[in-house]
Amino acid sequence: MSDTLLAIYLGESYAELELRAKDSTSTKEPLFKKSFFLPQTSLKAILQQQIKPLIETGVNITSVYVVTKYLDRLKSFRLGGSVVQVLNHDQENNYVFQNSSKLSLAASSLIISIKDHFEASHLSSELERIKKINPEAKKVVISLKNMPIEKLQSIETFFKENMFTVFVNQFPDSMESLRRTLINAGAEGTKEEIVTEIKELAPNAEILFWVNSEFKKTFENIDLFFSADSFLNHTLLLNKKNILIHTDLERWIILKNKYCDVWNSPWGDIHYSHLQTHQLGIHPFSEVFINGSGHLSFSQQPAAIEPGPMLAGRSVKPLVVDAFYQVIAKNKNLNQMFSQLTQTPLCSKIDSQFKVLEKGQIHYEDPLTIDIVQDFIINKLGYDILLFKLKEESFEWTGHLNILFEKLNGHLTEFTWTDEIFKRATNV
Amino acid sequence: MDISLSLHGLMKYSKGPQMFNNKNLQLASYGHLDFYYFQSFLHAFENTSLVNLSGDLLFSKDTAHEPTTTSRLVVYQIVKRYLNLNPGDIFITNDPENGGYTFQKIFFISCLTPNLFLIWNENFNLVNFKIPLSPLLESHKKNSMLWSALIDNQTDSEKFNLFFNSQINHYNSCFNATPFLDFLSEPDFQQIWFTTCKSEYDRQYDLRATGQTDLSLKYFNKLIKSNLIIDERQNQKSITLDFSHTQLAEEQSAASHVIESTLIQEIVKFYNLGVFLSQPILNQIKLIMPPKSLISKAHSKGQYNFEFQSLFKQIIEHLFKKLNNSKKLDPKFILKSEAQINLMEINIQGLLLDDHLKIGDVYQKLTVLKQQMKDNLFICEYKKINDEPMSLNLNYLNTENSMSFRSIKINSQNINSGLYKLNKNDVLSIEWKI
Repeated sequence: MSDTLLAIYLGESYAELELRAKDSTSTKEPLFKKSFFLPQTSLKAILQQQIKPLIETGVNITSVYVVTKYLDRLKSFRLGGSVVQVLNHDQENNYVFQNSSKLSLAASSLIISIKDHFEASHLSSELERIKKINPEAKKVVISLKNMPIEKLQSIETFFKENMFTVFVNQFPDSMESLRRTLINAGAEGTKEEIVTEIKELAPNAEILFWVNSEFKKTFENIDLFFSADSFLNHTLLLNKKNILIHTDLERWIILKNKYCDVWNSPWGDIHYSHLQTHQLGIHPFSEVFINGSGHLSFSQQPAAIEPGPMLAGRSVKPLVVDAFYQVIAKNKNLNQMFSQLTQTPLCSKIDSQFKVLEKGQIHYEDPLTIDIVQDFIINKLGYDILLFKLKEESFEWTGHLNILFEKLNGHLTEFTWTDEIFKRATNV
Repeated sequence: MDISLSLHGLMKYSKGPQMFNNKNLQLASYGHLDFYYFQSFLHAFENTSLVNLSGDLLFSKDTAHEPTTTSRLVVYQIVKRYLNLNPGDIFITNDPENGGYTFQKIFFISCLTPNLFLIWNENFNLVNFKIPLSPLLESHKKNSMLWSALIDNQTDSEKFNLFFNSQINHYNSCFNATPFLDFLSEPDFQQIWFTTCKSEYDRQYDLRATGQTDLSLKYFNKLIKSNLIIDERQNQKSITLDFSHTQLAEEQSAASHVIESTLIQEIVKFYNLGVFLSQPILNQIKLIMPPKSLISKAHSKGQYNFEFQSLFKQIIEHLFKKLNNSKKLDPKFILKSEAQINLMEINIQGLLLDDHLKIGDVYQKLTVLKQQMKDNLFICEYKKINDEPMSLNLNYLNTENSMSFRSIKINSQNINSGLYKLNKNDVLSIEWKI
């Protein structure tokens, strides 16, 4: 039986996995290495179908290192549909006052309101009511001010005895702190999903997530929203550069090792020190379409991950990344993710879609062709970088789509998340 | 920089060395996609305009509330008329009677190149005094007299320094963005952009109804008459808003540029022209505001600017709705309450609108007696428990229609727009249904 380490980058839309023998991590000899476009599969399926057969041949995974951006999937959703809140009377839904147009963090119907003098039976009857509304509710956020510690502990014990995962807001006066606690509770299910899927594959392996500059076993769930950013920043610091440009399938950003104290999250502001990133260029998942005026345009909001770009073979709507299908098709790393791209019919389909967009423009005699669209996308990224006054010698350019911007950056280096993960894993 | 524009507005780039540097960038016009140039260039600003030497507006960007589109053009014209504005210069003002909005909104008027001027405004709540038009930066050097009098002399001088230095940094990042900056200053590029904006305006104009509609209403016993005329004559697709016969100003009034800013924003929103707002579009909009009326006389502190902007935003929304609806469904005008609260010394703001509410976290400065939301009814009660000075600046469009479900009170007494001193044990309570 040989001991191995598994590196996982679990993005919002794609995953990279690499398995290496424990004693050869520095020699970069992978036993398995592959990228996947997630809507076509899932982490569970990858682990069971691709990695499990290796385990059956005697491979033993001792540690799993995860860098993730997977929780970004939650950003367009209301959270906490099954999170119970225990709050003071007259403080129901108080966290929404900061900005009522933000996404909800908890269900109003699952609030248990507590008066200064309450009986233990009140909790039982309230829990009974909640179980009728949502029998799946298994997480509770307790945020009570002016409550004696013994009473607070008794409430916590009550929920633990009823098999709840308890999240206590340590600063119940602060709505930012309450939102943070609610996010931790709301994201618990997604984190557990990742952990459970890994444990099903390797029950005895230690699972470490990249959080705040290192791989850790314990952390707050909110930390996982910034796992990938923090990892990229570590790359920047390791390579002693000032600026990092990252262009992968799901985002094009610039990062400068600068931290911001308040996270303007989709669910409201939260006091959470995190790395500042700035979006560059047009979003790679922006839809390319003809607008009401007959002009070729890019949608302000990126398209959903499912069905994703035409490159993945299921969508009929061209996205920004689709304009580069020819370059992507020739790249080994990328055509692993989009296997259908090696087949002529998909390439013809994408080409035809851009021809349709060309002919649909109102000034047909002077249309923006796919070549011009590519030029514009590359140049737009260049203008944005220019505004950051990039010095040639001080930047690091990561992400597998850096190949699209060869015109702007002559010295391209191949980037894979898992290579970088193993560089850090050997130091754990 | 060598910039050449081809017949189609697209310049072919030459293959340069394969390293990232400015020379590899293809600075060329991409027609209607050119708005991305401006958006990128102005990404650090929320309320800003770029104009050229002729004073023609190239690009404008505003937040949804308290737009200052025309106010910025007014302060630019004042500087241009009375002062020399050269690259490296920034002037500032906040005078509500001379193009400004309120004391807290600081306007910056700057020159980037001889043919490109950047004007922007930013909120700074610690300023509660008038700043007449003054030079902040001259040839990239801080004006020492202004700096010591206005900034270093303040009790919160650190915060003042931070604020003004960060604004200068934003300016410098634009100033140093060569060759981008030179490209945006090119008259050829600007001309192509103006043509694009005008053609986009014509297209959007043709997609919507033309005609005339009006609305008369009394707002706290003051008559407001509005007439919207959208018609095409001699190939001129014009939008006219005529407020003739609106009552003369008494205590409550706002400057015309304040009202114009909100009207222009609503017009470009309705015509889906946000990113194309520039001089050719402004030239098609005619706003008639009688002199000395309640919509043309500036208030010395801008006390009613929010209230009047909110009022006229609702009026023009209604007029557009009326004009574009079938006659059978003639909508009734119902004015809705909206408010903006500012707890001055503790720097906490709130925005109470028809469809949403925002109130900063007050718990460190006030005792929260109640803060709950049920069925979209927001109820809060905050008590002041210390002797530290605290004042509430309230800007409130308070309508009779909304009084039963929207109220702002101090010690159970309803209040209107104004500045209120909060004493120890005072309770500020808000009920707001959205």
